[in-house]
Amino acid sequence: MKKKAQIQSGETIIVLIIVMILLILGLVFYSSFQGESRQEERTREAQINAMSIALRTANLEELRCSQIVQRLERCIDYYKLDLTPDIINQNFEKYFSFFGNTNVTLHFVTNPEGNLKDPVNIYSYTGNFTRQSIPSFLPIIIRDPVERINYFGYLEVRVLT
Amino acid sequence: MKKAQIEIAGLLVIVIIISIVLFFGLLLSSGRSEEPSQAEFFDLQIASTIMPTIMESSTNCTPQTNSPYYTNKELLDVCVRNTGFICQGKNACELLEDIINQTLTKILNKWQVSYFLNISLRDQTNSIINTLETNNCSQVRRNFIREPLIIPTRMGSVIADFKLCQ
Repeated sequence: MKKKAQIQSGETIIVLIIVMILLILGLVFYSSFQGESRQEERTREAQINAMSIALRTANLEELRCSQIVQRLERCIDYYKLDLTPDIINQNFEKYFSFFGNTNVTLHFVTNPEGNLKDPVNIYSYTGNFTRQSIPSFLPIIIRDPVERINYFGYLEVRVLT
Repeated sequence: MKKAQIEIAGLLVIVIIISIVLFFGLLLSSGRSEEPSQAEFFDLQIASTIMPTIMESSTNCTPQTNSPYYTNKELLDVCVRNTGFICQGKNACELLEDIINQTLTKILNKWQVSYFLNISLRDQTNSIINTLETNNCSQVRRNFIREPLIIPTRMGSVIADFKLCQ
């Protein structure tokens, strides 16, 4: 009788252990999934934010093409590029609310007249950061209204956190 | 209740718990694949902006001395009209193909994205330039299609069918 009771309590303990293992496995799986999806969500948010900044940069009055001669979507004026990065640097506080914790760079991809022009750093966040997001890219036209050349380029925006 | 019945009920409870765990596991993993990934988001952005921008950029050919460079859109118009225009020893269509191919290769290879591009006159099956494609992009099931870009020319509308894939 005593031996039978011992076997029965052993069975109960085994069942409890199995249930505990299942619960722990479920919790581990769920928490790792939640962690991954939170990470993905953060990355996606950073990219959406970066793309939003790229689009706003293309429409920034200090950079965008004059719409009088030719209406081009996503167009940056070549000559404004000479001045605007300096203006932004000198008024960093003002532009921080616009660009935030980002690095915004303009790259030239084509040049009908020969050598590719160097990338232009439009805005650089100067504060501390531990990681940077996957960059977002926005294809864009850089218009030289004097020579009437449209360079093909892209804006690269990295969010720093 | 007999002892055997109690044991069967206990077994049933365990089976139900395992089923619930499996059910939630499957539910979470299937829900996850339906969300657009960061790569998909990235490709959708590029797919919608890259071709209109390329078509507006300048080539290094001019119709005559001291006039502005043709844009790719204007070169396409010259190409479909078959005017006999020659620049750098190539006709307008060959030149356009070279420029688009070089531009797409330069940036999309760098961003590790494959592409498919076919440009043809509306209502015509023949391409104006050779179809450009990397890594069999047109055969990939999950590609990112922007609505075909319609470019007006003096010979009618030209359709640029552009796809990106991972």
